[in-house]
Amino acid sequence: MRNPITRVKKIAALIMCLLLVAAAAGCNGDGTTPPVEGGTPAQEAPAGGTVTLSGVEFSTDPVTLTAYIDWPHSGEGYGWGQDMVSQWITETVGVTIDATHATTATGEELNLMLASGEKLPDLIVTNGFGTIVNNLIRQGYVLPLDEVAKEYFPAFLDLLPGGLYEVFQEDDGHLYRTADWFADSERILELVNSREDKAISGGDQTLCLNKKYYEQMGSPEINTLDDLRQYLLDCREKFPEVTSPFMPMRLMWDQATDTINFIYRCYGGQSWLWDDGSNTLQLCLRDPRYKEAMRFLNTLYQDGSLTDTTLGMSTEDQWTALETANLFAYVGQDWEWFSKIVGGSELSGPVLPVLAPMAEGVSRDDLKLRYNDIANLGGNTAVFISKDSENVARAIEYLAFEYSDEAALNNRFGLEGVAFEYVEDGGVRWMQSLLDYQNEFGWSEMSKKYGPNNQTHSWFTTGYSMAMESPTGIYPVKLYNANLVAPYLKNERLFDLSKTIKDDDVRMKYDQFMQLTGEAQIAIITADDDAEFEAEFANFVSQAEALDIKSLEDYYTANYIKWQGRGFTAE
Amino acid sequence: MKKEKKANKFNLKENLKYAVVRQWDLQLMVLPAIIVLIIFAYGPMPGIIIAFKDYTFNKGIFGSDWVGLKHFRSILTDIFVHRSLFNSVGLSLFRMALLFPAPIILALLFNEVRSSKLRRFFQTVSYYPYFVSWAVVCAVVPIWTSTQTGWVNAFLQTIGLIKEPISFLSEANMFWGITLMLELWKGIGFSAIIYIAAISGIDQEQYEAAIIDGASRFQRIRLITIPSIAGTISLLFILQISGIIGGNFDVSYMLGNPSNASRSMILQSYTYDVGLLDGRFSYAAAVGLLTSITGMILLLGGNFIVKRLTKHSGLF
Repeated sequence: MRNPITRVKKIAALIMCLLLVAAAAGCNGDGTTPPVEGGTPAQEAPAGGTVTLSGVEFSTDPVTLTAYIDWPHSGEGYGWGQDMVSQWITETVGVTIDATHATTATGEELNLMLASGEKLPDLIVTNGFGTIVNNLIRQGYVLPLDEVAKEYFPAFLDLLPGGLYEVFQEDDGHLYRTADWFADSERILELVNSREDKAISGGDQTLCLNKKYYEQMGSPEINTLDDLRQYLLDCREKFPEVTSPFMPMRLMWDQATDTINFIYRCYGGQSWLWDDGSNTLQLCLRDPRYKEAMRFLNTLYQDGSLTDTTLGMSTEDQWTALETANLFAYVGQDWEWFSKIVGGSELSGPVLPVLAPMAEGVSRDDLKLRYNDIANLGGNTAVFISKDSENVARAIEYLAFEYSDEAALNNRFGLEGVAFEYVEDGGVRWMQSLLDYQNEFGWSEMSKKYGPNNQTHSWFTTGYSMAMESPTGIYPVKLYNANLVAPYLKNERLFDLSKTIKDDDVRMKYDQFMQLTGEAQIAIITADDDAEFEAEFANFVSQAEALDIKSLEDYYTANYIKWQGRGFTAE
Repeated sequence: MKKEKKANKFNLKENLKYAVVRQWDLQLMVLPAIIVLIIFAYGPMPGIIIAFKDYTFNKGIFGSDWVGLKHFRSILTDIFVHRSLFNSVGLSLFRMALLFPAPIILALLFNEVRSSKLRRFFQTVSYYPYFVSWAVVCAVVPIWTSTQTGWVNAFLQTIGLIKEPISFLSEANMFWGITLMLELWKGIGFSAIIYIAAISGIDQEQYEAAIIDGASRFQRIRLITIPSIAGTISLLFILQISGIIGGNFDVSYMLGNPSNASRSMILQSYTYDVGLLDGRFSYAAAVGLLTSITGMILLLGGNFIVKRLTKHSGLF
């Protein structure tokens, strides 16, 4: 008789082997994304034809370009040909994008793809700044776009927004990447002039007041920071049930709506990089006005108008606080509130944007507010043509197409007559049917159907398309806000210097410094008394010095001078 | 006598024959584990060399430029490595002091529950959280602790413990406490299983004899149960020591944010950020290598100390 235990052992061994084989088989996956079902197949463009967009002729021959999009989860529920804009692209220039999207974190899979020597797709869409960009360029994984353009599609260089080449040109003289949210300053100026007193952006930050409490307080004038402080104290006394009296929307230098930077500007400061007048850039922590801005916020904290709870709020918590109007004032954009309220308008809305309250002795003539969403965020996303591309000619043509005004507007707003329409001032605005759809099903579903800002193709929103948006298009109150801040708006490019750091050690220093800043600012603002404030600020400066920020400043200055040498200014 | 010695002498050929031919089924069972170990543990070891190189993708591991100790020198001045090390070690020490004894105590308590049904029920309830993944736990915690809608703040305010809601995940000083509480809740039941198994192996006659001698329940625990599982305790303690500069990557990564980074950043999460996300593989490898070497030194040191201090043998 056979031993039953032996039989069990043999069965167990067999199972283990099967598991091993199964595991090995799993390693052989090709990693392709399953095709997304649904959607209407786009009508193919006629072969051998051409189409003219922005004065440039494009081929209409059908072609499929592969792309890797480095934004995790950006592909979930999206697919080429499902939305109207991607259908329009295929119908117009014959291009279909076969995209693979990141699934974990930006950079992770792409780095592993490079390390493993995997064949790269035609196009790579990733973070516009950081080590990954440097690695792609320096290690020869991507092609110089200017060279490729000269060989296959010279019009690409004509369609590039002015200044982009000068800002993102590498030391070898070539341009390897596109940049999103980039504006041609002269073209923006033309638009500004054509609209007389209307600003081109409705998204500029300012001080926003809760209209309900403001009216109950007798609508006092808030012209200075002291006025603001007193207003908050009075409000708290009258309405003690409000738990988030003053809410800063962001507290990080490189964020567009950083409250500290806004208050710093109320003291006459500007960007977090500071030209001391001798063409040398310094970080604003060396500027006494920056310290004063921090001190003001600390005063609000010591008053109890700025609380630990408010400072620690997640974005979701901030939204809830806005929705429930559980605050007196915040620094940010008025749409941040309006966008939470369906059908909100200037008259019925709860928010009242007012102009920046100034520090004592500082005039509003010294106020410099920046264009948040037009010109100074350029380069967050970069698109590259990989060295492995088998469709280089069509790839560069497609990038040129994306920079055409037609494609830029469609990528940003959807199709004319369906998703957006032109208005009297020459700008564009989304149509009511689209807004109704968005209100009913949410932004994401709207994007999947109509195509605006759809990650399958809207890779580089241009500054031009942003500027074309009529401030009155979506939220009526935006016009009010825009006109309010328009005289003080300033086009700044100093932020872009961080995006052109090519030295990995400097890049690391920058990342570490930003991390340090994020933590130190909170510690300084939440100091319990003046002595602690001074100690925390001194600690911040000393830790920053220990990081050798001087080398960071030197690097910025060198790049700044390099820009100037290329005929480009920072403003 | 000589013959006896000769007979006891290790015979490789015989042993191999016995192992391979006679125990082929057992060898087959262990084969997958050996293969996995070779592929994922020993195979990548030569790659450690990138810690001494400026690794670039296009030149590969062996073609990249040799930079010697450059990355290690950078580590010495990297304030984030210092911070990560502080957090890793600090958290581990608290883990050893608070979390290590907890499952032992729980196992001892389970052992004292007379009703087997009740014991099984509590045991199941206690180790059930172990099967909830960290991803789920870390997704739920921000919702629970929200200052606007979270039940934790609402509850604490209702019972009067706090006046204003606390943003738990933004308070750096609370991060260690949150981590330890979550680890305790999630792991205590499962970790207790190994001690329960050790306790169940104790000869019941010892307890019977102790009862006859008039030993109280507490005395039986102190004089019989604990000494009997001391070997298991010391074994797990040594393993715990080796992980002092490790940490809980899942919690640090998923619950970490800029506000609590000064306490949430540990060596593992920093290595992940620098290596996989930033693509600075050489620097990350240098940090990882230092971590591994320190872990090995701690393991050997812990083993040595345990062997010296107790009669129970260590790991090796």
